Amino acid sequence: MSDLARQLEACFAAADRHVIRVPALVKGRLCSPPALEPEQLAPRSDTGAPENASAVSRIEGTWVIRRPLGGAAGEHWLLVTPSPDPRELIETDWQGLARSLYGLPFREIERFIGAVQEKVLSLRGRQWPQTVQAAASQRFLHGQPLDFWLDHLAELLDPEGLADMVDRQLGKPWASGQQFLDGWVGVDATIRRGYVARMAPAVFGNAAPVPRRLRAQVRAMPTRQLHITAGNAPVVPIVSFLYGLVTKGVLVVKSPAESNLLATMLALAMWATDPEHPVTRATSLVYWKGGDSRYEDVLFAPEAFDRLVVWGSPETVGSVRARAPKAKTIFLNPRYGLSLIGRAAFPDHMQEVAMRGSTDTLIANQLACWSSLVHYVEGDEATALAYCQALQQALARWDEHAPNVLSRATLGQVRLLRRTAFLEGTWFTNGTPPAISSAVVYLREPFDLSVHPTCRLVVVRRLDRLEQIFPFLNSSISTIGVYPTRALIEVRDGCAAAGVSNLFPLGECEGLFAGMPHDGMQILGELVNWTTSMIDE
Amino acid sequence: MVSRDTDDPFLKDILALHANLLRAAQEWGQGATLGAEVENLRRTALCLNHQRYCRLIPRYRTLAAGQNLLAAVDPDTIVNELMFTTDLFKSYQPAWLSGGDFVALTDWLSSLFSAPIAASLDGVTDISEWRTRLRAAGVFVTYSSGTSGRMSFVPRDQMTWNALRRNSTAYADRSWFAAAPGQRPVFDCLVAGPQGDGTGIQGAGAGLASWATRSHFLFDGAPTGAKGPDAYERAIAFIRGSREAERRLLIFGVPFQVRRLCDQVLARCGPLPLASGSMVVTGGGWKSFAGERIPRHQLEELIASAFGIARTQSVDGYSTAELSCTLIGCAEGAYHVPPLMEAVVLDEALMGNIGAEGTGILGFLDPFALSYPGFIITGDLGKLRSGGCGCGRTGWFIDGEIRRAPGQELRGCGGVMASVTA
Repeated sequence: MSDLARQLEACFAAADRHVIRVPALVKGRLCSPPALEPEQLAPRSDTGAPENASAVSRIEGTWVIRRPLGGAAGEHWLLVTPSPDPRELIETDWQGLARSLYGLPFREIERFIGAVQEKVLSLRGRQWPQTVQAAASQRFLHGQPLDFWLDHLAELLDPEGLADMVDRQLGKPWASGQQFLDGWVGVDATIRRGYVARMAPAVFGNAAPVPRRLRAQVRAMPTRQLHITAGNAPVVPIVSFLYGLVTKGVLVVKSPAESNLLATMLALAMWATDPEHPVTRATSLVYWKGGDSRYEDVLFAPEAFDRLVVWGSPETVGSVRARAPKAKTIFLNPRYGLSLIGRAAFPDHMQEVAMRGSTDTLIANQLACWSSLVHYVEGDEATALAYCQALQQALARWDEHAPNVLSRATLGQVRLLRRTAFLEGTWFTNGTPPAISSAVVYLREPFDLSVHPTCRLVVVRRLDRLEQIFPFLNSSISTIGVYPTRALIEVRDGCAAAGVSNLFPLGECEGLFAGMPHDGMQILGELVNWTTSMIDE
Repeated sequence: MVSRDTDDPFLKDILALHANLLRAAQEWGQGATLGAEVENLRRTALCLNHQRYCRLIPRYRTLAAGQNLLAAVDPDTIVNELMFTTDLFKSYQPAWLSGGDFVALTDWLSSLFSAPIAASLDGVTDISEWRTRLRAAGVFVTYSSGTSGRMSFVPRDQMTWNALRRNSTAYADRSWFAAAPGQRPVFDCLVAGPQGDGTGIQGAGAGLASWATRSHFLFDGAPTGAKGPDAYERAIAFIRGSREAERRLLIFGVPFQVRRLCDQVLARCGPLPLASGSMVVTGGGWKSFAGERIPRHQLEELIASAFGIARTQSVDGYSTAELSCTLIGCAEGAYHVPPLMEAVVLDEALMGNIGAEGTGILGFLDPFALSYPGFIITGDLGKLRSGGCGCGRTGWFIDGEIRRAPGQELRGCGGVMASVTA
């Protein structure tokens, strides 16, 4: 058995007692949590929280993430992860970095990524005990089995794709992105001498320095990056990590509780590939409870990092803005997707658009910023209701293929909506009440989207004309899937003007290409210091 | 005037059950242990209320119809499918309030109320005038700002309004409210707050004051000009008057106001012992004054040092603006549920059972809420138990602290940052 497999198995050694112990990667070093007994990890029973609630607590210097078992009240799975000293995470040896990681040719980064990808793939197909599969997938991996995430992780660790991303986002017509990362790239430009330098002869006469013929050079200098990632889509910490990795960044990535297990798999694969590799030694994949001042006071201090990347809620964003006002920060706010279906779809293409609409809804099980939350249908009410039924059937097919188990809290949210904001809606549900698996709600009136539970529930609204969607658009909308193509071409300028980032054909909203802009930004360009030098020709 | 639906076949039976429950509450207040028959009475009333709500309250009817529950149902079905959160009473468009659209606001209120509201709204420009007009039409509206900042409005008809003012006295210490025919009960009442009946807590204070021999409101609007210090001086004079008359005093207020009163008394004149048998009753929680919050035992110590009363004479109550009675806190740290209403505990999926103990989200089913849906899920967490308590009371109680339930946190790249119309 390989070291990597042994390490991963060790994580699940106490699975029969509902405990998963995962290490953190701190600058290439694997830190394991102390071997506390489940009794020592038990939350206080007198907190007044519902007995089957999720929670995070810090016990004996260890983070304990509690998730309900799904059966009897009071039983939980516990994910235990270490709580490293935040001061250890900060890198201050710039000169060392310039000589090691920053000086590494990009092709070596590519090679390393390929080697990590192979390690990840080597873990596929293992026969994990049922308890491990159940715990991992249902409580800590968003309902998908381990192999699904290993495949997904390997797919993201695509050396060629990542190299393309670098070239598209950092490259210029005269040089590739990799060249800018690897060294100083000449710029074919006329250099205008400075105003004061031109005055120098008037001041110093013949003694003034003779003007020199200079050549400009630019380099995409790597940075020290702190990534605070969010938990809705498990790949978010991985994607954020990859943004940093391909810019040769010194990385601290904070995973959310929901995705910590996936980040652990990545950490183990990197460590198993080469614990001494400059990339591994410059990477920390850790967890702390968001807002913990013991961590954030240290990590948000001035000069601790060159870049902050923050994915998350308004509270997270507001907290970071307040606590790290001077840091150059890239905020990736929560966004959402919509679907827009023109009357040309009905009645002949009803089933097709329902399938396409459901496909865009199911992206990351409706938790990603591309996932469609609301479907706008051009037509009369009878058409909209018929579409709801077709969509309900399409969602039922997805439920069969990829069962959707709502947490008790999410189920509570949905049940509450039926009594509050969606009380006047017409409901179409799948599953056995009260445990619904998916739902469609037709609402006749505009509603407050902030109540949407994002759990395989689609709100359908009716429009007389497609253009009536414009008042509902804003810059928080990531993606709109449109049917048919003619309608997409007609509305896309208006949608883009409102701040929508992606306008795709219905059913294709998860499509991407290497180097595609994210949230209207070329992120890699934001993660490097564009540094200029001038030297004698 | 409210054009009450004359076809109200359930009301007579419900009112008869109310009378029986009030009698049971009196016995319970005097220390009796109640039998299962009282629970049956209460649950029967709740089931009749369901059928009555289905006939008379549009929003409730919509909810029940959407789940094919318009016919008679059992109490567990009510608990699991037909309870509303307190958000129901805030479910208006904020623009109606900020824009002064009291017609729209009234239409919305009608959808929660047991009859169409036919009030004259000409010239109404503020909430105070709106409430006055509604009151003239037989609709008593209490409001609460809550912790979310959005005001909630609870519409009561005359019967439900009477229940709000009467029910908590049914199980209170009878010696406070007993009086010879034609005479007032012998006690003074100091309300540590403003006079009014707009909010639930003001209504409770006004209700208690109305029983007293003498009453005084800390912020009484007396025309002496200055605020603050004068108000406390007048309150201290009132307290001294009770002491000199050897009449026991009931001090009532929200915790932060009682805390401030104690601080002021101690700062201005030192300990001010009350007449024997006096009590201090708090209710309403700390809400937006959480910064002044001190643990209950510290507040009790402060009250004891300011007024020289035993800690057992200092009682905290728990209620919400949507309920008709108050849970009584005791020295054992429990909040006792009077037999006038049913307490339930719900899990995160908002599922629960009548008559089950447990820890979770607290819900209450109030059979005396005749004019609006009285099946309420609070935003509070607690541990519900039944049996005996060290204080001597029996029945259902919340064991220990009652805390606010955490809100749903939005996390991730997918999600909606803020309120946005779609």
